[in-house]
Amino acid sequence: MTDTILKVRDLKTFFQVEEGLVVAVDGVDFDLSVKETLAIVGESGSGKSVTALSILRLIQEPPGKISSGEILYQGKDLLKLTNNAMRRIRGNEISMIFQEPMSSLNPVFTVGRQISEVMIVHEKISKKEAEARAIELIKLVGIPNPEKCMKNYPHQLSGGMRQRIMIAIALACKPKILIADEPTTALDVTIQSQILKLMLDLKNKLDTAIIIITHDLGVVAQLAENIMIMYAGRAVEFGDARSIFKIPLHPYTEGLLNSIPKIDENLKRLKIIEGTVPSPFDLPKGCKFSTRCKYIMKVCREKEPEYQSLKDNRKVRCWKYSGAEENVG
Amino acid sequence: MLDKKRELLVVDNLKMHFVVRGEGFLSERKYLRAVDGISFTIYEGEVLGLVGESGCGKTTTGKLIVRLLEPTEGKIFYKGTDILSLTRKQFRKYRREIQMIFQDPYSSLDPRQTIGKTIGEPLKVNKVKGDIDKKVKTLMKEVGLLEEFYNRYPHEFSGGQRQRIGVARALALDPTLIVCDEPVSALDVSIQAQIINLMQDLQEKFQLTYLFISHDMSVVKHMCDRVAVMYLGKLVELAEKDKLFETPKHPYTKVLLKSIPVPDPDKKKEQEAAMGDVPSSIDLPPGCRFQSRCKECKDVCKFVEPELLEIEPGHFVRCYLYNSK
Repeated sequence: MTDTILKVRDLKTFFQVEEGLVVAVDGVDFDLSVKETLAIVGESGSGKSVTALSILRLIQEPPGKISSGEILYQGKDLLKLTNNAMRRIRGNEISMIFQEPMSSLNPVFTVGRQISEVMIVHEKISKKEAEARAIELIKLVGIPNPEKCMKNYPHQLSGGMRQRIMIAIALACKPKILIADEPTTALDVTIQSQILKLMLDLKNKLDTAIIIITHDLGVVAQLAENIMIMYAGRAVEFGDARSIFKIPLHPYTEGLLNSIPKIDENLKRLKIIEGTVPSPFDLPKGCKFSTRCKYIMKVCREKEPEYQSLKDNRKVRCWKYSGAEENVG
Repeated sequence: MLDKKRELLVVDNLKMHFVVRGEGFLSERKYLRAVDGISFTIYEGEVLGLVGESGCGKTTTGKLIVRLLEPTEGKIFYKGTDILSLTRKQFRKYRREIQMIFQDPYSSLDPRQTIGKTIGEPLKVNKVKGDIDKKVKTLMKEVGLLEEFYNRYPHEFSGGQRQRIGVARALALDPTLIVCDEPVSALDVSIQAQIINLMQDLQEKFQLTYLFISHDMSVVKHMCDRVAVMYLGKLVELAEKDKLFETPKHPYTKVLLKSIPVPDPDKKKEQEAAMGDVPSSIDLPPGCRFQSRCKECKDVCKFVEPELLEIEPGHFVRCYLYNSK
């Protein structure tokens, strides 16, 4: 096995809102190795973005709170660090690309200033030096005429360019871990493929581990080595990409893979997952997927299954596999 | 065969130019050419896909067809009638037959109206006789909504259910043609499949014709009979689905198809992207609109725009590579 750089154990994050308590993330475990690309997949409300924000401790408190769990980065528990110590890691060793390139850049500062700021703060270098490096970074993310781009404000750039700037900011301090929250969702397909290619190239150049959060299974298949599937705040399945796409274990994963129209297949009708995601205020008692599962058994309604490890480094949260490790290939 | 089918809607050289102001006071008026001369035909009973990237004018085209926008130029014939020459009042009769499903199920429903009222409103406006409540409830059942939901408000529903409401509203007046503007792109994957299946069932049951606007090529391939590809306000290719997906001709269509990430880790492909950004539709280059990103760009492409030519029956391409002259 390769070196583990990030270990998340039993992470729980909740939000106290007017209507009640929302447990957005409830028991998420995973390991990330150096240079690995992990995809976290799930639908809206499954807790994937909250997981990412929790790792960086960007959960606003109140209403949110990380109530339990450990986030071990190179052995240190990030949840126990002081705010100052955390600030030194955030944007420096672990950085994030946010979902909306339109709204996550500051409209009143030039792009150049926003990229150099990260380096001035974290690496205590001079403004001049930072600017020179910013130009390098803009070149690296493939924007022509970087000197001119430095002086542009975000509104003067297209969506794809803004997303590249976000990537440049995230990579400015050569982070060990890059968290990308739906980095291409707001972009067109041809631009999306440019950005994905860029992320892969950079990963190989800089040896960064990537956590990519997405609901697009196509992107996952093209990019990820390992996949974690989330449903209703829980991790329900983990495994390497190839095995998950070939033999999905959890009924939700299976349903998800079946429900997407595939470009190289001709199907008359799509197979669907019946029903909708349960409301966070009204989660079923047993397995959270029990209301939509086609393999439902009696035990599923009563008790929530454990997140159990199977062979080949796979994990699943489903009663179908309890005490049946040997049946899974 | 398709060519024997009856023409339902013919769009002829349709243009929509929006006026935008240049920088500074007293500056020259500029035009954003959102739709810049497109022509196509929709046959009865088919699903025509209209694909392209954001800003290419596909939504504008949809809005022009239901006359939510008045075009700068061009004609639209519905069952042989030039609907753009009609007055608003005369058009109303046709508007009943042409309905639209909108992209965003959150902003396209009135938050202060119960869904019963929302679905029933087109019936009231058009003074349909009979029991409106009963009709609304039948419609709700048709799209998979429970009757109890009648008095609820949009905020009580999930995205998928709201889109069902939007579909029910579009169906209320027994339309012939429905313009579907990205009806599933705002929905989660597992919900997308439900709505796609619903739309296919309804099409069969009520013999509907769809203009299906989308940027998702996999969904388009699943839904459509023929596909039109738009780039910066113009059609660049139009063909039957299988032809377009198997033997795409226009360089842009090729890039578009290559860019789709395939959900299969064994089919990882070298991401071969079209480099460069899309030019702004305010300052378009002379010549072919795709030249800045095209690998096969020749000298002629930079000066004169190619025509949309029929290179084989039913397959139209706008590119000099297929221009035999």
